[in-house]
Amino acid sequence: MTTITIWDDPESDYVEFHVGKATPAHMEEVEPDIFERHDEKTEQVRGCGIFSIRKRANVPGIVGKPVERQIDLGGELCNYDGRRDVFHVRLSESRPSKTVTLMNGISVELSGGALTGIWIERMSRMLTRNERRQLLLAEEIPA
Amino acid sequence: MLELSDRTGSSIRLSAERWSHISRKHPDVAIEDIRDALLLLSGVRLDSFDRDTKRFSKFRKETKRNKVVVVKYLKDDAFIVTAYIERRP
Repeated sequence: MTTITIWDDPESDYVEFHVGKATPAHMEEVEPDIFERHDEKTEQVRGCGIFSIRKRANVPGIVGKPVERQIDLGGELCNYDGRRDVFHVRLSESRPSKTVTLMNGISVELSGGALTGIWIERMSRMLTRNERRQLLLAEEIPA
Repeated sequence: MLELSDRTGSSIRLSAERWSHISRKHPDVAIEDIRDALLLLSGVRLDSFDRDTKRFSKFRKETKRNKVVVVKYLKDDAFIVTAYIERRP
């Protein structure tokens, strides 16, 4: 199963994630300080980079080293609603105290400055056909 | 950790974990690209929400892409946040 890799750098207030392998890619700014990651060959959106997410949420920054997590898209930390094409990855047991919704259909959950989850609307635009099929099978929703 | 500098001579650090992230997740960016963008920049922009964060870019005619280096400036410190290839829409 494909993974989602999440990079959270609290000192820089920068969050980045991508689906699948990190192939050569370029970033495109879709709204101020929000960048979508496009695969260089296929041009498909495969991830996102978000600057100043804590500043946007008016939550204090936290001290800490960057953390990278690689999570199985079909694993228990992830949930995909195939009918609504909405994906959620849970990064912490803490309940989010703030959710910042960005214009490109990404929402970021925070709790006291800590990243606790990410919502992705129109998730299928970030998936290959095979990855989407696998996710639908994992959720037992007919394709 | 690497020590680099911008055009004003300010020291900028690149930590091992951030360089590891850049080299694995943005494989088109080499350390020379980071030095180029900091010293021979063709543009610099401020982050909209954080005026202490600057994005240095160096335009490459052959690829029609910017190589971008993001630097956070603190009172007595400056460090590279990330670096990537950018295509302006």
